[in-house]
Amino acid sequence: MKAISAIIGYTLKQHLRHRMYLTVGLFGLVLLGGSLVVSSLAAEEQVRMLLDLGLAGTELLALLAIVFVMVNLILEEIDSRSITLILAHPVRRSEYILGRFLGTFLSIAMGMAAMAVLHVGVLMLAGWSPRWIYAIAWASSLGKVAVVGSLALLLSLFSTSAASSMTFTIFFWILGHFSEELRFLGEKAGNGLVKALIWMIGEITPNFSYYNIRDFWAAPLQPPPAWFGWMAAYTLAYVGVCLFLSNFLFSQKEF
Amino acid sequence: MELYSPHPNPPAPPPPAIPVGNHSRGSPYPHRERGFQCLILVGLVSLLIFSQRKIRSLYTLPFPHFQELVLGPEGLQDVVTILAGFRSVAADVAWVQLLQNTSSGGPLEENAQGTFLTLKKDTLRVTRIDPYFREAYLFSAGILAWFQHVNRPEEALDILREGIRNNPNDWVFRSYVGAIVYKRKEDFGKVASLLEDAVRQPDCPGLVKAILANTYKKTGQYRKALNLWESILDDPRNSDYHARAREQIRELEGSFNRRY
Repeated sequence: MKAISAIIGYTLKQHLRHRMYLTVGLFGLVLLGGSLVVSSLAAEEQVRMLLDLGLAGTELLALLAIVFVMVNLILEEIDSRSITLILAHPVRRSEYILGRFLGTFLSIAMGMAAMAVLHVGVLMLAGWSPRWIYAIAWASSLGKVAVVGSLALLLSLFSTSAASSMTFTIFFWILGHFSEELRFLGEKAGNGLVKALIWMIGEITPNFSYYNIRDFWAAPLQPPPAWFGWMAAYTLAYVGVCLFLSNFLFSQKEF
Repeated sequence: MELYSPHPNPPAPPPPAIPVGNHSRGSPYPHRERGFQCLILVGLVSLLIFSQRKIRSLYTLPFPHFQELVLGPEGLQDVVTILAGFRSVAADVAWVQLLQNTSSGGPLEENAQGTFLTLKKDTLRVTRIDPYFREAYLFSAGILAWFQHVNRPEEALDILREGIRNNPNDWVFRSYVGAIVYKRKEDFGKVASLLEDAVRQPDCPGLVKAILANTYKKTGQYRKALNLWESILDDPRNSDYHARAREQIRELEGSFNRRY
């Protein structure tokens, strides 16, 4: 546990001192400011548009940041051989993977929290009154970021190039938003083989549409409280499986 | 006698290679540890499958399928934005484009020029992306049913029917349907009473308020018309109608002064 917390602290410091973190933060500010301008085009739906653009912008930046950082996280250390310095300490490879993942995830979550505070401030200036559903939507985005991050880490260890890992992660991101449609197409398909293939893809791909609570919080039928618990369990299980497989791939590597 | 040695201090042999990161704190029972790891993996995969089943059984995502989307020239933009996971943003962008298509350079009035031929299609584009976008239904139905140069109440009713199907608990849509039906019968008293229900909603579009104010004026209820224009002027969300409200208030107050 001590080793994991030490790696988390080291990773957190590494990211917070990185220039990219500041750049992403600045870009977030520009995005929030831009949403103020764009939302004025929506006439009487300005607050709705501010809300949607802010939440979407926060998620988009977090997703791009976690994909980029997670893919390069271990690959860079392997290339520069600095990984041997860390692993020469009494640290298990599983602890290293878990610590690096959690540290990166925490740094992204901190950035998302800062953007959410700013966003809520802008919304309140526009006449919006805070609602709990905002926090739930934000937490759902965080869950999506965790799943995408763990996938990016797994794919970065699976492939040797950062570019291909990023491409595959973004492919899974899009496929994850298409999985409901894929399931629907699977039901319509007559061929058993196609049906089975679609079913398999649907099971492997995370269903990201369920994380977009901001899209259906105005729907008359809302999910029951137990549903949110199952979503949390699903997120933990998906991240857990990805980290487990990442650890397996990492343990096979020779330095 | 010592033998001559070309290397008085031979270099020490290299230490045996230690696999980095696996050398310490390893379990004395690797097979047992591997078995434990397999158990964890099986547990995680089972939880993953089971939770996915539970999520699907407890809630179905309330969105139309892709085949129901209204795909015009901006179809690719809508699909890409939805696939990237930003459905509500896609609806907002479609809404802004709808507003641009209906824009007349000022507040929309019942006597506005233009026939808004693509309005139904533009509205369905927004509401198929986000079926819970209330204002889109009400705004477009208002133009289609009340604007003198448009006058296509059937299209307005089609839009409202879709609104009722997607939002069955929202009675404002039903009031609106009633108001359109009475408008066709030219029973403006009934129209006004049904629109009053819609106007009581905090997110009622300024367009609907303006229609009601004009209906009051048409039926000689000047005091009510004046009060409604004043409420439009007080609401910052209806800023598009503020100039029109000032004009109407001046006119109505003038007619009051002449009368009394």
